[in-house]
Formats: sequence, C-alpha cells, structure tokens
Amino acid sequence: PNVKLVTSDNEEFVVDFRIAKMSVTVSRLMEAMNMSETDDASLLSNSIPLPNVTKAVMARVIEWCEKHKNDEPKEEKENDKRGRTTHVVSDWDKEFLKNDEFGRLCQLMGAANYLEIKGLFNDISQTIANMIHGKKSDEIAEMFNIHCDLTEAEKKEIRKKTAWCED
Amino acid sequence: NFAKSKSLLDLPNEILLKIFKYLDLRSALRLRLNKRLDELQSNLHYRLNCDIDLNFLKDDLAILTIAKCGVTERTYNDISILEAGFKRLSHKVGVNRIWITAAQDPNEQQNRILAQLLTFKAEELTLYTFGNLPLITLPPLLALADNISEIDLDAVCNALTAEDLCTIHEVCVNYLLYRNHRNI
Repeated sequence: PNVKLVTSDNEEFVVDFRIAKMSVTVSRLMEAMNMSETDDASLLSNSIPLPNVTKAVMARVIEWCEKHKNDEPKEEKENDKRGRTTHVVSDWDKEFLKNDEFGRLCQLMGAANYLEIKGLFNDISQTIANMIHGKKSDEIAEMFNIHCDLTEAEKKEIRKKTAWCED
Repeated sequence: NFAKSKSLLDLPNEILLKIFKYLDLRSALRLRLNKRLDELQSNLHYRLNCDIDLNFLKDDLAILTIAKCGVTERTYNDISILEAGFKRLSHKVGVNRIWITAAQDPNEQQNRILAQLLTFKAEELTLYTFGNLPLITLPPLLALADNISEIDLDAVCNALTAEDLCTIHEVCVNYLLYRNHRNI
C-alpha cells in the first residue's frame, strides 16, 4: 500500500506505507486520520500534509528512508572511549551527506527533526559533530559562520577556563 | 524554519544540545564561541569514560592525566589554569576514577582544586598525601558519599560539632529505615 505526502510547496509524494511509518510524525498523523495498512480506501482518499518540509528536502528524506527501510533499530553508544555519545554513520550515509553544504544539512536536519526520523537526525548530528571534531575555535567559527558576541573580557575568561585541555 | 540556515546559531537549542552530546569534552569547550553556545555548554553534564590522575608536586606544579580527553602526563607550572578549568566543570562531570596525590601538605590553591574535583561524580576516589593528613569537615564528606561509590581517603575529621552529630544520627536513621523498607 502507498501513502500520499504533500509538502509545503504542494508537491505530492507517493511512498510505500513502510517508508511513511519511518516518520513518527507521519505515523501519528495516519493514526489520527484512521489510515491503516489494511484499508486501501483510507490510504487513497487521504493525504498527509507536511507544511514544514519542501519538495527538494522531502525528496532527500525519501531517498534516505528508501535505503534504510529494512534496517534494524540502531543503538546509540553512550560514552565511547572519549566520553562522548557516538552514532556510527554508515559509508552509504557518509556518501549521501558528504556534498551537502551546511545550509542544506540544516534543512535536512530540520526535516528529520520535524518528521521524527531518529536515524537520519542522528546521522546528521554526528556528521556535524565530526566536522567540528579536531578543529580549532577559529576554524569552527569560520566553518559554521558563528558570530562572536563575546566581549574581550569574556573571551579571556573562556580561554582561561579551557587552557587546561588545550595543547 | 531551517530553509535559510547559514550559521550553526540558526539551529534551535534542542538540536545544538544534541550536537554537543556527540562532541568530546575538548571539542565542546572549543565551541564556546558565542554567548548562547557558552551558556548551552555550561549547562551540559558529562559522563566521561576516563580516569583523572592529578599529582601535586610542589606549590605551583602539578601533573595531570586524563588520557581519553587528550591530556597525558601534562605538566602545569601554573595550577591556576587547573583551578579555572575544574571550576567550570565542577558538579557537571562524572568519571570512572579520581586519583589525587600530593607530595606535601596541600596549599590554599591546591585545596580549592581538590574541593572542585571532589564535586565530580566518580566510581572511585583515592586521595593520598605524603604530608600531614588534610583536615576535612563533615559536609564535604557527606557530599562525597553522595557523589562517589568507593572512597579511599586519608584525612582527619576533628571538628565535629553538635550539629554534625545530629546529621550523622539522621543519616544513620535514614539508612536503617531504607534497609528495613527494602528488607535488606
């Protein structure tokens, strides 16, 4: 069975029921609209409006879901050897996300957050964290366009409090 | 609306916090590039899968190892750096084990650093000094009991007040009540 999803720019995407169910948000909406896998009429007569997702981003989300529709739920590893949470981003996912500049990653992340697709959201969070890891503060500021609103005194205080772990 | 996101700061706090969770401590500290990011990082609690090994050699000289945070046998000639750093992390960090050695009686600044380290949560704490045994009052001991599972501490607690004895009594009564309740 197929489900119709309608984006903010009125584009209709017809996706497999299993793919639609990968989004907690869509699942909830289908439940609220009494749409069930065994009731074709309910699926045909309804469409799910997704006002926070554009056509371009939805296409990317569906591409990711298609690839992961048969995945077992993935466990996050709390506190790896460096004390951080880690999520293993597969080679396919790395390839999928590697050419996205930060703005596009943000759009995709916003959609994953809104649609509650945990795997995609975690992939992007980990990808951004990987981009930050090992960079110096000024490199991070430049890469992510972070405007510094700290006073000189505040900057000095922060430097003082982080000096213990800097090289 | 993420459509026009150009900066990390365009992301809402809930997403930034998620990204912070994926960063190791050093990277998270480096991300304090802005008032908002600084505030977010300062409210995060960390459970670091590592040991802290601090050795006070002289008044202003210490060696610190937190291997999995990229600090390995690093010598600090100015321990105010450690004081400032640990102050930021105090009450927010959990580690496996804290091992502190002092070659002589800890001075005032070393005591302040110790006090900050004793607010970390840990499975195990060892404090060993080659000088006179440090004096410790009851409140920090009770706080330690809350934060740390196993403590090996050489210290003198010689300033018990009537109020402290009441607290000990209360703690013992509560413990017995807890045991009875759990049928231990």
